[in-house]
Amino acid sequence: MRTLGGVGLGWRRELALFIDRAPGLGFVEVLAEHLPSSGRLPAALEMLCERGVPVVLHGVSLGLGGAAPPGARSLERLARLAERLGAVCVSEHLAFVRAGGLESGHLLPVPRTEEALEVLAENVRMAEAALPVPLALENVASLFEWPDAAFSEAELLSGVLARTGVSLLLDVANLHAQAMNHGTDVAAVLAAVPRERLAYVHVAGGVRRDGLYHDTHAHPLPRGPLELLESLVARLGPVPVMLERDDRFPPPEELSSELDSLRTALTQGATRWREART
Amino acid sequence: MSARARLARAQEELVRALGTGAPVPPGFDAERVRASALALLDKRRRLVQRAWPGLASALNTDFAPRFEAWAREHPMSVEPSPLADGRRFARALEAVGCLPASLTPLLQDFDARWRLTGEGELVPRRGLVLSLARVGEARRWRLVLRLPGGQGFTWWVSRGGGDSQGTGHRG
Repeated sequence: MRTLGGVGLGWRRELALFIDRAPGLGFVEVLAEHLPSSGRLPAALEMLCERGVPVVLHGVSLGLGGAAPPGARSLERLARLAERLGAVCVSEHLAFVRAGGLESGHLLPVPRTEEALEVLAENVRMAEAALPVPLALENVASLFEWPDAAFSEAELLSGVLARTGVSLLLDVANLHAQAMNHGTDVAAVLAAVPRERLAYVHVAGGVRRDGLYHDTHAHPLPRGPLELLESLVARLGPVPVMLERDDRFPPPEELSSELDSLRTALTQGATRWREART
Repeated sequence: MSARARLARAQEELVRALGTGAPVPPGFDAERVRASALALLDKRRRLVQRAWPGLASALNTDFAPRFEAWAREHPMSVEPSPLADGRRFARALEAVGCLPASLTPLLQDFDARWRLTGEGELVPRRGLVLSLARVGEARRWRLVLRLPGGQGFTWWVSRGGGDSQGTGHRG
């Protein structure tokens, strides 16, 4: 499989020009739900593919943590899009999005129980079998938690890795949010990620409101996620990492400076990693 | 009951609490679940506002409270699409006579391109579309013709007078 590298950015129409001009962008991630099922891809995206910029296809509506198996039509659509884009991999979430005929419009956490983990793993294996490229799964953030958790967030990730063939898309902004809102043990989560099972990393901005941290993808990047990125790199060595921005798009210089802060965290983490190895 | 059935029931209770204001299932931090429900509603409203800037500006300060009241009663039952969500909201406003007349042309053009299914999904229209709508209380009518391939024409017609004027556009 082709691998990802460097610093990337989530492709959005509003950022297409910036991305087209950005020097040295390692890869882009495209939202599956924003692409047409048939017909032409956005021209700016086609050009990126032709230039050979590696692309990841990112889905938000599969709901692999749901009680129902993933929809065959949704999987087919993802598979076709992945082929058309020449995607390196497809990524989705460790979450459920619908139940009882209702769409939540959001990525909701799965209960951390043995039973829910079994259902999740079964759904994930079905998705893996239906996709033409490897699947990576992302940890999510939530303002609330399920009661009676049988294990930790770190153990949930390890459990999915043990039961399936997927890689992880570690979202350090979501991890930061979980630490702020639920006191999640970030060191344990970072330690649960083996380098060979890490596809890439998400970083995004958020905001603290009424005592809760909201992972908005619409506010400046705080220190927390960058520190987690640096710690991760200090442990594993350089990893592919990208910025997600979905709303309130900042001027180009601000976006460039956020990408630079990702590069700085990567460099500093890699220095610590090398020092630890000598 | 199977593991999937048990999980389905637990997840449904939670999604109902989040989307419709149903009671928060036992064991959850009710305040946190409500904070999450508010954040979800806010996100849904912002997406519709972005997809339908004309609708939001015509309703002005009424937009947010009206949309949120409607959204609580109408949780999303198909894969979320802000375009479809906004169109369903406009239809609900129309049904209770609260749709600003200035929006008629916008909705007419939209409906010439898209059809809302019974399930609430948007399907692009193919083929020839001809639509006539009365705009406001004045006796003015707006005729829209959309050709297969997307080319569109608009005429304004006033009853009793020959001030018919036409414009053409592609899209």
